[in-house]
Amino acid sequence: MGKTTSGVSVIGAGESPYTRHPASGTTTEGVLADAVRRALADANLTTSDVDGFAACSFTLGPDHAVDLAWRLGLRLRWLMQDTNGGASAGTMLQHAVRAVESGDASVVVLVAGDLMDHQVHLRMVAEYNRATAENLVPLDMLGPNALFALLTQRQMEAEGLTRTDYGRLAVAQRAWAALNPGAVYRTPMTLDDYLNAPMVAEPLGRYDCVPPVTGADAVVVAADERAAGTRRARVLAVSARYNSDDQTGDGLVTGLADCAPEFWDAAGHGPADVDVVSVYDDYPAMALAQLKDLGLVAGGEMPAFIAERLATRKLAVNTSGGQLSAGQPGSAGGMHGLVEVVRQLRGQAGQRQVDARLGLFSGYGMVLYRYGACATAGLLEAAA
Amino acid sequence: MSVLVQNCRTCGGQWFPARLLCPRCGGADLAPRSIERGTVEQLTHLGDVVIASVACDPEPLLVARLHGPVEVGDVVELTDRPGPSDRPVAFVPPSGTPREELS
Repeated sequence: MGKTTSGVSVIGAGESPYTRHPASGTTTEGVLADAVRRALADANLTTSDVDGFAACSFTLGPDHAVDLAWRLGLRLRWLMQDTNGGASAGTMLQHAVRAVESGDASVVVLVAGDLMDHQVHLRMVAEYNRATAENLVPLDMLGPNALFALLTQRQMEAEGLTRTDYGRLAVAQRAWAALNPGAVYRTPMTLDDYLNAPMVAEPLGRYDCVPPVTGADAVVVAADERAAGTRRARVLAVSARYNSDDQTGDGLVTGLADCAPEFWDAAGHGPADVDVVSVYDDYPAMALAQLKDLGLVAGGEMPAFIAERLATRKLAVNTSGGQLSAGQPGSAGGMHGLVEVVRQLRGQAGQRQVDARLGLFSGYGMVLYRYGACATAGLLEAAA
Repeated sequence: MSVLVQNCRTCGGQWFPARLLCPRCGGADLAPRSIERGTVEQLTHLGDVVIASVACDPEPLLVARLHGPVEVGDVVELTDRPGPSDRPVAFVPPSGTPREELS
């Protein structure tokens, strides 16, 4: 799994525009199709070029990946359906890279997305899994905010963090979002705005919690030689961990900590080499936990790292604004970061473009009982 | 008042919510065990609802709703019955193990 990959690239990316309040008639399959169409156009390909397809969506039912492929007119020799939500990009990319390397497929489209209006969101968080339905919802606890409030308290104590530190991260991401026409919240935010926002579950306020949106993200994965001469994002490494601690820990360490040694070894690079990062930010505490697990910040150094690297935006982290400002499109939350890294590496990031050769993305998600259980990361390199 | 967790008769591990096999030793001999109290590790408020992480000795870690005056660090009685009591309690909905199987 840690084997270096160099023969596979992401050659196109697309995002169906995020909306807080989807227009009447908007459907899950509609936004998924829109993202697929945009990603293929970005790669200068058509549906007839595609022979591999992977999809992740909480709201596609009763349809499955093959129904979606049929409606899209995709005739395939490789197909997967993923259920890992915020970690789905890494999961699907890990499989797709091997499929292309082995010759099982030559052009693979990965897509994730959801229709996420208020009612759908309420239903999803109530029926997320059996433990949620049986052991959390009866507490009059809907959604994971309280769980991550408890986790954030643990991180504050362990790392010497304050609400101001988390606020600096949120404010920096909003500043990035102001440069991203695709983000749903682009109005500049001050630290006072953050600190004075209504409390959700202490210490989490409104701006610690992602706004649910409707939308979808897709990428096109292909053999590197197929894309020779075009701007592409070569996949150097993908790693994943699932249920790394049986929910018996404090949740401050994700599966990425276990991934990190093999991940950097396979990539042939270290955390200091990275130019642009998309880290899964369902809550600021989890963004920081993943940055620590992947070696971008050491334990005990988080407050200084936030002030000197994130708040100043000297380290390009979540340049789209992240989910905190761009929005969380259900299961596309994880794909959002991959799409942003691909755009940065392919020079398509507009006003927020940074000078980037190496891009890192991570995914995290699927709260089982106390915190998320899936963690994935990928490193990509700009090539032309 | 108490909450039922799983006790692995092979390795002694205690689990909640219910597992299919023991995560520590892989054993299938998981029996219900009654746990009467735990220590409140952290708590937060969702409006009027108080949600807490409660640590049993030596395990497992539970997510509970607190009723009555309870602070971080307090040892609190556990119950699988919803609603307030005449004394402070931590409510943990049952998982998987019917009470009559208690041995």
